[in-house]
Amino acid sequence: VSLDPITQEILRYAFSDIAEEMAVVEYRSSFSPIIREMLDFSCGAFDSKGRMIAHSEQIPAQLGLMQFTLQSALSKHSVVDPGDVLLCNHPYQGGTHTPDLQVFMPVHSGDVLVGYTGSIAHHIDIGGRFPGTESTQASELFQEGLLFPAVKLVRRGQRNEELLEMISANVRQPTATIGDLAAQMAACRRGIERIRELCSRFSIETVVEGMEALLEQTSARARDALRRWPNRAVSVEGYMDHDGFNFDVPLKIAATVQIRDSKLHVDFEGTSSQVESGLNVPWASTHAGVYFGIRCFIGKDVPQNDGLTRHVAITAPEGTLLNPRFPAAVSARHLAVQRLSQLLCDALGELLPERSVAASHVSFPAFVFQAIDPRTARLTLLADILGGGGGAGHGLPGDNAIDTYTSNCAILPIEVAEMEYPWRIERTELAENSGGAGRWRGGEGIRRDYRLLTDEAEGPYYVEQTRPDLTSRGSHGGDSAAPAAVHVRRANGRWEEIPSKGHLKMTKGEVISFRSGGGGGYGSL
Amino acid sequence: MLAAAVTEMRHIRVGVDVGGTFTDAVLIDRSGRLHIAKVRSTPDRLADAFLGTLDVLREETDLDREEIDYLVHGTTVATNAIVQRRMARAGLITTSGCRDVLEIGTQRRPSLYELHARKLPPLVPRDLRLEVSERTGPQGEEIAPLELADVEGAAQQLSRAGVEAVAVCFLFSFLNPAHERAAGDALSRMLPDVPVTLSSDVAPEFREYLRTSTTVINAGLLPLVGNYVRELSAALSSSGLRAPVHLMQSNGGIATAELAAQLPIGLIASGPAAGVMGAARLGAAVEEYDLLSFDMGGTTADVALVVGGAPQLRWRGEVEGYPVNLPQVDLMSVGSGGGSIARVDDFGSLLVGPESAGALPGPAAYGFGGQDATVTDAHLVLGTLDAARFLGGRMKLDLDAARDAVDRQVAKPLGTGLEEAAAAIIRIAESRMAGALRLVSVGRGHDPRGFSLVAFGGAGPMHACRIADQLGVSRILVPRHPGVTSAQGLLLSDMRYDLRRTWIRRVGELQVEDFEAAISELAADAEHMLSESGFERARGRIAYELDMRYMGQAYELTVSLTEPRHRALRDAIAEFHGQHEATYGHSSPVEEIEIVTLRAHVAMPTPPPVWEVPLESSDGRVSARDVWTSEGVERYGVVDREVLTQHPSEGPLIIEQADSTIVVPRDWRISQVAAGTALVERTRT
Repeated sequence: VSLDPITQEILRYAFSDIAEEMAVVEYRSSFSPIIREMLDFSCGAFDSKGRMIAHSEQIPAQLGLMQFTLQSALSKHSVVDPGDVLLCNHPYQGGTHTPDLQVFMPVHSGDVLVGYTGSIAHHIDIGGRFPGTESTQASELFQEGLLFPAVKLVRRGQRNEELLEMISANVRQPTATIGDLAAQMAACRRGIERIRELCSRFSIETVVEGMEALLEQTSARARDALRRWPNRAVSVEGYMDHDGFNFDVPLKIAATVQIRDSKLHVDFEGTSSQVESGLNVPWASTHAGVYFGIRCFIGKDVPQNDGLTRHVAITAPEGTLLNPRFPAAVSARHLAVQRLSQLLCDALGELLPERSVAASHVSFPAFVFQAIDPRTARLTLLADILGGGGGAGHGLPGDNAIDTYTSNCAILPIEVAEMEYPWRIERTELAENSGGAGRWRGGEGIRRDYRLLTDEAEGPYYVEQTRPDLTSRGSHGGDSAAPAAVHVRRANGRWEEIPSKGHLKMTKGEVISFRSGGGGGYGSL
Repeated sequence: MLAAAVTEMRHIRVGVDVGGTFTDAVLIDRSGRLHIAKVRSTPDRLADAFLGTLDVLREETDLDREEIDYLVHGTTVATNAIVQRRMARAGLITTSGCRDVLEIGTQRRPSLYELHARKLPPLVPRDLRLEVSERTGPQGEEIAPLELADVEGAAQQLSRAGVEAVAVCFLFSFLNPAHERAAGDALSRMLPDVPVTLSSDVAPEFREYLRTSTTVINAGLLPLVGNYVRELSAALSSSGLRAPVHLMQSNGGIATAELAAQLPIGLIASGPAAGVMGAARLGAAVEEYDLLSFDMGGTTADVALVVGGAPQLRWRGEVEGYPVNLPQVDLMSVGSGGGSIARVDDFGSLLVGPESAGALPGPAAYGFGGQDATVTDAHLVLGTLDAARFLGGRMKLDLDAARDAVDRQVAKPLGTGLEEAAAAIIRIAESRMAGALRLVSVGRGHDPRGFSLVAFGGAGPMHACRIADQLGVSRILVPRHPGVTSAQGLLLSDMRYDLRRTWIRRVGELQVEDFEAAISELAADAEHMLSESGFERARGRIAYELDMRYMGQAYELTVSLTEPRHRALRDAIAEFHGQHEATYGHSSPVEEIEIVTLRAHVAMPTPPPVWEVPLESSDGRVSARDVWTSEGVERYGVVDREVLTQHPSEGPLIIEQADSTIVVPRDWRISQVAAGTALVERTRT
């Protein structure tokens, strides 16, 4: 029996409303600024096979991969009971980097398994060698904090208290971590209630059919769109500054895209070998980056779910930056994911020139600094992420100050930072003339200066696109953007440029200043 | 004092709601009778339609304008200024190092996957954003003094640039406004003709981008809204009106026009707030206090929640994509109205709205050249609307055009029959509206099944029962005049002013004297506001609330504080845990709690409605017609609204009146209750 198109349409809206409502529950009751202020989390609903049906619109880097993680978890647990909560983060079992904790709960209506709800959130710290867990300076996975290979955090409604104690004992901010996990579970429970309500309104069979029909319809839309794309092969390549240790050796990402048999093939042959630092990209994250690029070109009426992704085939030689071998470190994988999604937009822009724009920044300045706040004598972890310039397009200057591609984090408010951390944000401004010139100019990056108000602080930081030859490229004769940079003002008042990836120790009164890259210009002047 | 006279029941009161398409007015005369006027709006000269409604009322009532004792106005002037980018040229003065905060915003993208989408332009361009040397720290302490020379330099620069308003936003001014006030004084001295908005006055809460955005919008609206209020008052008084003008604010409260014009950003949801207030007060008149307000017009459906008789407020919102940090009725708008367009895309998906045919060309049936099938056209096809009796027969509709549009745009592409297609359009529109009602109720921790739905706007009462079915709601109230419920809301709302102060403290470390000092400072401000409002103090009410959160969270829940004393805190904390559980599904009594904001609400209640509605007795059934529903064709009785009685009439029934149509399906019944309101109840579950 096929579902009537009206009910199908009503269910489609309902699924996406549910994912958005889950997201509201999560951010409003979360504890860490990285979730509640910067919104580094996402929520989704899945069918009984673990295929994504709907998601909230937050962080593309996280959306693309939740179904890999869930399906990997389901291959381990043949039975997931009502009231169970699965906790996952293993980068080599469908996960991304370790701080992205994923929580999944089954949705049962009566005894019937209807699907799953899930939440992924970037936790401020999940233990390991570095404050904030994430660092380019990690040389193997085991320095990157706790690993959760799809374990049951809750069994039939009973919390696994010993596991929670283990977590609390191993992370730097246990109260926030446990509180944020509670918010993730609350979001999943809200999703379960909503899907159950749909089942009682429409019947279980109708809801299940609605999920299947949504995937089939998406698949038909995707096939139709891809069939109209030119089928010639396009190859692109781009570089990352360095691996965090060998400052003179850029890392290459090469991609070839081609449509064959209504399927988009993306091959990363020619990409650099994996590195002994945290820049390697877990396989699921490589997929997330590719899916992002495709969605930018395939059009608004093709949502991201299994119906789309079944038309995409990704290959990369094992042992390379984008398909590393266990236990290569991966915590700073986001820099390479940003570069790869930018390159994919370049490649697809060559196939579909009318949709192309100049490159946006992928400099992505980010850090976590640990310091004791003298006001409370508590350990604090200040984290921030800076946006930069957007690429210009035909008739459109690039946006100033946006977080680009697979990221979409908010900047930390100054007043939140100063109330909660022993730091003063001395300036937050557009980095003048950082966008590439052109008939339509690229967007400007951001400069932000942080001054330490307590005795000492330390932590990992990174910035990409600091080499003048690797900044955001212009398009159609537009200029490339200015490079990003990171400087420190020492106690004697002198500014010095420091390596663009590393681990920094600061003392009272010192200032660290990040400048993100601009976007590429479009058209010659 | 005129304001005090308001509370006398036997005075003549007028409410005028200026909307995008129509200007509605209601008048309550000395005997408590209600009179209505509706004229087309005059967007270029808003006062014309305003005076036009008063002319209609004078003809109908023989009452001269000078006899009007109280006048309240709902206005779109602030929203329109933002939509049409007619705001004043404003300058912004910030703490040094912060001038780009306004433009950087949250740094999030307007659309995740559209490489061609662009952020909204900043409301103040970079060359009009100037920095001055000053700094206040996170405990309100001075870190660097305010350099008055910088302020003077900025004033000169802005003056040369010809700005018409100035906004000042310094870091942590919500904790210590001294620098902002000093800068404001200097600016007023140097630029006596340019209005100045301080962020600590308009939005004294943390998060600098939200506060800057709010302050800048207020500054940009000041000259325009000020002029509007002055010109309107002048036009009204020269036409003989003696009563002062009052305005409806976004928080559902009334303010004198002078006070409202000083805080124009408080007017951005003036019209919709009036509708929710109308729903709340008409509900209270029949002793129903927990309500879902459902206002469906031509282009959108606006929904909101009323709990215990009070419309739910939110503290943050946005206008045209720009964030606004000010209390406003927690309203959700979906693009489902009578004019919403239905279409089938290439893959056979039927989409309804958010595009609307508006008033022009309007639905195909209007005969103004509209080719698209709309919700109104679908109703004609199904027989819920009668082409000969639209707007009480004043507007003839073209049934064939409606049938043709639905057939061409929806039935053929879907491969269904005409009536199935029309029924599908209605089902999808109703499902979107039910979804919005679910978000404002369940999404905020309230079970809609305990609520009554108040359906108004021209189209609301047609859809109310089916939406109620989806939500499990079993009682619906339809006001006597669904088309002018917003204008009625103007007359039924209290004077209201909201005061607040960010005051972040851990509950566990709270000093009793410290808390009482802070709250009594706020109480003193509230008392001052009340004495300024021209009311007798004894009639006024001040209510206190606290915004609280668990330590480490960023979003607060608002709980009531029964008196401005420390001893009331225990109940507030208990309410916080309960609300957190209801809203988010978890709570933690052992977790440390933080107070974030102290709030005081000053209110001056208006008397309840006293209008009399004659109840005629009749068996009600005047005619009948076939109506197509998703279950098949059914014979509906058709009666006029005038003949409803206290004795319930069973569905299926269609109740027709000039400004609306009520659909009462099988298993529902309708009766007349107090104040002319109709109650529609489910008879079987």
